[in-house]
Order: sequence, then C-alpha cells, then structure tokens
Amino acid sequence: MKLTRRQVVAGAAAGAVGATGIYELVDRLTGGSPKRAAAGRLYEEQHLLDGVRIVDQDGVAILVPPLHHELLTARVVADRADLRDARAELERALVGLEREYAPSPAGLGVTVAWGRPYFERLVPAAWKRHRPHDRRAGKAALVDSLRFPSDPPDTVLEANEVAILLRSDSRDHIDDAVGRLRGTKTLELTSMRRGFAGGGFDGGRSLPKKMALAAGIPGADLIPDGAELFLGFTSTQRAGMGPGAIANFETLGYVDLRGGYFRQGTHMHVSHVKEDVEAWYLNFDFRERVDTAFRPNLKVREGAQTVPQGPEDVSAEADVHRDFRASGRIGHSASIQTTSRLQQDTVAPDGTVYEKGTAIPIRADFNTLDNPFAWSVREDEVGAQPAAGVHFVVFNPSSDDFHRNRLAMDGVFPGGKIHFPPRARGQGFNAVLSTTHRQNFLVPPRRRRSFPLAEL
Amino acid sequence: MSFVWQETGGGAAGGELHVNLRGYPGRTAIPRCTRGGKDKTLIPCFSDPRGKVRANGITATMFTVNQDADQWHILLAWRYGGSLYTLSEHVAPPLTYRKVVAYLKRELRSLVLIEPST
Repeated sequence: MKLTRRQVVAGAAAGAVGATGIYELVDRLTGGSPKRAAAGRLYEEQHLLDGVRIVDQDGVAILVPPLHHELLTARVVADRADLRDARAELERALVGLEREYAPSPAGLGVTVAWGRPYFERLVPAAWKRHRPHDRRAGKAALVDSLRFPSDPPDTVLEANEVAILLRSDSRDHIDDAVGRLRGTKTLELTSMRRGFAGGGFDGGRSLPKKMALAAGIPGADLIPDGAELFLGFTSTQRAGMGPGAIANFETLGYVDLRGGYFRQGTHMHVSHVKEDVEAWYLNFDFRERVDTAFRPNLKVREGAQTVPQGPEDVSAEADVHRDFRASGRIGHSASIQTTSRLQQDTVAPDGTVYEKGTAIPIRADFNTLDNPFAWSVREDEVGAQPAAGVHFVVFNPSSDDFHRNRLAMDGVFPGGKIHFPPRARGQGFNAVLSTTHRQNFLVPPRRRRSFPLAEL
Repeated sequence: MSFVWQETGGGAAGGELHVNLRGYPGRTAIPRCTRGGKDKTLIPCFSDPRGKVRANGITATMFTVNQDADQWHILLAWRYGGSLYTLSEHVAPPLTYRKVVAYLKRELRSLVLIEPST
C-alpha cells in the first residue's frame, strides 16, 4: 500500500511521540515487501544469508539487503545446572523458525551470537579450552571492544550475554521470531534495536530519505533522493563486502581454533552510531563529502551516489598518508581499506583463492531511528524523539581484525598514525558521527548456536 | 548588514535567529573562502546549489553549504546591476531547514530597493 501525502504528514506527527512505532511506515513507504525468490540455502555459517538480490547502479553491482532488521540483546535466565535444558529449548525454537521460513530475505535470517560475559559466567572451563585464539594479535579472538579515538568519552562498552540478529523483508516474520524466542523463557531481553535497509534501488526517492522526512529528522530534506544511507552514497557494493566464508575464523589463518569447536563461526561487532545529518549536509559540500567519504580528489560525477570501490580502487597506507599531507583529509573508505582489504592473494584451507584487494568484513549494518534503542531495560536508552543513526553490525575473523579497521578509520594504521584531533573535520564522517554503544560477540556455527559449550 | 536575535534554546546555537544581507559592489563572481582552521585552501564561499527562488523580480540561486559568517546558513544569491547580493539565514533550533527556506522566501519578497540619494 502506498502512502498518501496526508499519511506521510501523519507519519511526521508520529515521530513526535517516539521512534518505536515509526517502523510501521517502512512497509507503507515501500509499498510492501519486495519480490524475491523465497527459497534459500541454509549455510552452516549463521552470518551468511542466501537469496540477496544484486542490482546494477552506474555499472556497480549492489547487494539489496533485507528491508527490516532487528537486533535483540539479552542475558541468560538459566543457571549452569539448567543450561542443557535451556539449550534444547532455544534450539527447538530456532529449528521451528527454520522450518517455517526460508533462510533468505523473503523468509528470515537468524544469527545468534554470544558475548564474553556468557562464556565466562556460565561455561568458563570449556571456554578456556576452546576459545579461538588470534595468532596475529596474540590474544583471544573475542575480546572486549575498544573505545576508539573518535568515540565520545561516554560511549558505553556493553556486556550483554547474547545478541540475536533478525533480518527479513517481512516485519511479521521478525515479530513472530521475537515472540517465539521470548517464549522459550531462556533469555531475558536487555534491549531491542530496530531499523531498515535498502529501498529506492529501483529508482525514485529512497527509503532512508522518506523515513527521515517522516520522522522529522533535522536536515532530512537535504538527503539526496536516491541515498541508501542517511549520509548518502551507496554502501552495499558487492566489492565492498567480504565474499563467501572469508570472515570465518578459519579462512584467512589469523585464528587458531584449538580443536575446531567454533569452525565456521565468526566474530560480530555491534555498535550504535548517531548521525548528525544536518551538520553533514550544511557544512560539507559535495566535493568535501566525496573527499572524506572515499578519497581526497577522487574524480566523480557531481551528485553521484554510487562510487566504485573494486579491488583496483583500493588505497594503501602510503596513499592515505600522501593524501593527508596534500589535503589535510583522509577518506573513510581509503583509510579503512588499508586493513579491511587483502594485501595479497590468499588461498583458504578449502582451496578458495581470495585475490588481493578483496574485502574481508561482511557488513550487516542498518539505518535506524532508534535513540539509541527501540526498547531497553534502561529507561535512559530509549529517547522520546527519533534520531538518525546506524546500528552497525559487521562480521570479521576476530575482534582485533575489526579493531584494526576501526582504528584505521581514525587514521591509526599498523605502520603509523596520522595526528589529528579526535573528530577533526579532515576525518569527514567522524566529525558528524557519535557512537553511543559498542560490544563484540562470537557467532558459533549453526550446529552450535544454542548455548555453545554447554553440552561439554 | 546582519541581524541577530538570541533567545534561550536547545542545541549549540539554539534560539539564535541570524540573518545576513550582503552586497558585493562591482563584482558578480562567487567569492572565495577557506573552511577555517589550518586548511587554507580557497573554495567557493557558497556551494551545493539547490534550485532557484523567484520573488520580487529577483531570481536567486539557493546554496546549502556556505562558509564564514554564512556557515550553517541557507543562502540566496543573485546578481543585480553588475553586483552580487546574498541573503542568508542560520539553520538552528527552533528553526528547521524548511522553516528557514520559507523565511528566506518571505524576506526576499519583502526586500525594498533603495536607490542612492546622491
């Protein structure tokens, strides 16, 4: 169903009473779930989602993510003695969801991840024996998130025991999943985080712009009509996403799996980032937005939203330093690529060849109007007014691998540091982003997703 | 000429109403500015044009990214009699982008040309 102008205005009024109900607008503003193949392959890797549509924009292949996203965080209700029963109960619910819904955007994607507090409180001995070890970093593959140089001093480093990512084109599928997971009574929710992705790939005004306008976000009028994100530019390029199993613990050889319990698992970072949309569009002209989002002096067509980021476009650390010396700026993509792209051809244990310049992280971030969360056990984490932001969800082979990428975004590279004040204008995005929460999680393989290590 | 009115309000410049009306006698080119700080690169003082506004016999171009005293303002620029004129207003609470655009249109409509008396 399409919205009338009057209904859009009513949506803006709804924004005044909070973000929680505003996601009902997603289906109305997009005319319902997009047409996609219903079937999908169920990978052993929980973080991989089959059936993601690929479209062409300006000659660049773009992945079309599921429309609706929800991330639940929770603590475990069961004590150690009851863990096996809880495990059976949660697994029953997850298998039930798999029977009901295809593992694709048209159905439902479920990713269950576990935080360090779970392993250390409930399965400490088994965790000590089986926890993956990051050889390159010389520490556990799952460690607490850092607070990064451009993070505000009050960024909350969270300590949730569980995080469950739900992705679907259908809001109903997600609501059903939340109901069934809560029904297991094995978990006590600590927060619910909602949002949306995609929309507008087939032309016309994009979903993020429509939602920002409906929510009355300052600066919403200035968002380019086709923007995939509130801050503009297309981010889900296929070349910018790690392919296949590249983010698995075992694929690139960074991680020692110590017996292999977590083989085909990965690491997940979750953060919430507020975006000052108005500051971005009123203070940074298009040229400066390109310079700081991609690379200084990159030649692009005026107004372009999709800028190729293939292996041949990747920057090295020396390029970023050179650009900074010449312009006083670093590009967000260019700086991150120094650590997020393969520096040489790499052959995985299964024989897959990943070429130099291939992206490693697999992102699953989504736009949000949560402020910062849709619901939380803490009242101060649910703002009355919607706020533009992103729930940043990304899969990397280890915490350290994510930390390297995020530090590079701040100009801190393995080979040296660019000295600018935190959130300096020359860092582009960093000047208008503000991270409120962060946490790292471990994503077990599907066969061990429910209360991992509890059966040992 | 500049007009500023400050009342208590939210945000960094909350409650501030700031309007600039400026003339650049004898020149029509967009002036050059720096972004401030250590960056001394010269850039256009007004950029990211966003359509035309017509009122009072004036056809003005609206710019959304502006520098110096017009930073964080929406600005209208037009040429008249071999000179450049600008009218800008600060986007700050309680004003929104839409409200500022509406105000600018009204202000443009209300301008009165005063010829030099000598």
